[in-house]
Amino acid sequence: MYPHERSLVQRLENKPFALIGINSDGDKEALREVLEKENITWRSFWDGGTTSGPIATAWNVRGWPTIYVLDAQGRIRYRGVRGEAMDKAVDTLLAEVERDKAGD
Amino acid sequence: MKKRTIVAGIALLLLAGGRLPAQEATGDPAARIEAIKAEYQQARTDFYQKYREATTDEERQETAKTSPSADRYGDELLAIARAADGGDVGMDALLWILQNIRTPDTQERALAIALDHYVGHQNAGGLCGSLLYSTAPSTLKILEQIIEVSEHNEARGIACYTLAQRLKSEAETASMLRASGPESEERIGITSYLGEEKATELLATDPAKLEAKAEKIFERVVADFGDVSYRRGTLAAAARGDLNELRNLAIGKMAPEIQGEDIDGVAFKLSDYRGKVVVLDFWGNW
Repeated sequence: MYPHERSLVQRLENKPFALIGINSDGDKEALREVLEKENITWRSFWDGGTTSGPIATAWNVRGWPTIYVLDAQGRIRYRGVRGEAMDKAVDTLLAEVERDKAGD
Repeated sequence: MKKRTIVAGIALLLLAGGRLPAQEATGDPAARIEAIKAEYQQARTDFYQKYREATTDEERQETAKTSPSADRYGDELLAIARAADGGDVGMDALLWILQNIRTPDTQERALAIALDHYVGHQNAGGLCGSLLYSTAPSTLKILEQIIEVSEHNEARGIACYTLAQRLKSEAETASMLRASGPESEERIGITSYLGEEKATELLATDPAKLEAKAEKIFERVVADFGDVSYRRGTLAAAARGDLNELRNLAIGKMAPEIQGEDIDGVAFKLSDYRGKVVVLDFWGNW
């Protein structure tokens, strides 16, 4: 997972794109080590150190990882996409942004 | 995440086979079940240790071939469940089979026995946890039977909730099938998991219809079985979470705002990223 996300973030560095984590780990210090070791540069919400934190509860998340892909307007467009399917979903939505810009 | 992939890999290997010397059955079924549990647990512990100690890929592959399988206990436990005729020992045997033996044929045989003898058992709700993703043909029938004939409110509530969850997850699978091409990895994976027939059926089903059906049953769970305890809360709380997901977190809905702090305690919110395509990744390093 990490290497895939890392390459996605690197590939889209100059695009209107963000990967945002919602982290449900229990130990902040251990997590810091993982961020360092795995070179995780994207930002995560800290969900209170539990899998039943407020954000995961509000989004009814019961399995990890859970992925949602939102378009530039903040609308939910894909769920549960991983790997290549996640890349394709993001590329489709980025193409929409380009098209909207050209249409302005 | 890597760690989990390895564990999942080992779990798959565990299903692949491997044989241990069989032991003689004793006369006491309860003691026999305990002995089987202990023997299988020990075999798994030994296997994991051996797997961890392997140093090369080749060695790991060789070790994987020796992974213990729960399949060998299937016939004996099924016989215990049948003979116990609705008693607690039989329920225990069925639960163990459903949790540990993934062979569809054994699962189906266990469900047939459950249908005949155990739908009225007070722990019938315990069977439901294993039925959430079961592909055995009798799964739906047994959930419906528990709801219909059980006198135990808890079992009925959990069966009802499980039924709704299955429909919700079928709706998700149906939309995934629609979104993926015929030759795509997703389509092939789902088809091999569900079987050709079920996958074809879901592909032809409107996900919205399945969601509407699921929604109705979740509402029934809240109304009729809301106060039944479930996990760390109640069935009402669990079903409300699912209803919220169906109503507010579906494809096409505006994402609810998220406000919080990052790892360093700096406040930020999801709407800060409006104008960008966003991947929201609920994750944990386990």
